[in-house]
Amino acid sequence: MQLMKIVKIRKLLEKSSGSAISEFLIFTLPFFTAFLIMITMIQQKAMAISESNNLARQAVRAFVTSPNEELALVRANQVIEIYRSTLSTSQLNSNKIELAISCAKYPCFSPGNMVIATISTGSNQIATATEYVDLWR
Amino acid sequence: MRNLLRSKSRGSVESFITIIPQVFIFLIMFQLVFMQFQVIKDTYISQGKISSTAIYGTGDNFSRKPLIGGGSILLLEKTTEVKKFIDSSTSTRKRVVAIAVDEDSKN
Repeated sequence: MQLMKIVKIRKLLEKSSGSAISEFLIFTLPFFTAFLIMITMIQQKAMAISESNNLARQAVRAFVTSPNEELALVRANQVIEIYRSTLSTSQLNSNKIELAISCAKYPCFSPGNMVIATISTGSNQIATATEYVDLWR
Repeated sequence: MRNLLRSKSRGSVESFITIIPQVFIFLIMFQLVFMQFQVIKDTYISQGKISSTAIYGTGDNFSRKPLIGGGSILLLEKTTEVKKFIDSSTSTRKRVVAIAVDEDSKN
């Protein structure tokens, strides 16, 4: 039994002839494929972060610059709707944009109040932006 | 040196066959990195341009949509062409959208 083991170990330690370039390629081809997928995923994530951050900033800006409380949420939603209208049907299906507005205190549209806009996109990306309602309102 | 270049060198056909897909995949990967970098760069530049347009009121090639209650939304839609390394005769088009709120001075 032990002799069998020694023979196996010897066989494993034996030199085997082969092309180094073939071995290199066999190892690197799957690596490159995985790297390709990873690069695409990183790009998609970077775009989703940029898109959601900007939309959150613009939506909260539209909210706090509203002339009155009734129009504030409508304005914020209008920003999202206009952005949605520029996307293609496939982009709309894969990238659902949702807006949520929360405030530090209610009523939301009171002077100096902190307003937070949260944007969630289809790619599990969540971004928030904070603005304050004008003190002289 | 000259003798070395002229001398016959042995190589395996298998290696040559396997190196072709390797080079092809490497070129595709390089192309993807380049294209993605271009798209991200264009997105940030377009967003910067439309944001400065909203602040200073200068700039062109954007559309203005009225916002309920005053102000407007500025939209910049840009189609960029990205050159290919592998097939240099054709180029890929990529659309970039930037948005900014131009608030009314009365609000």
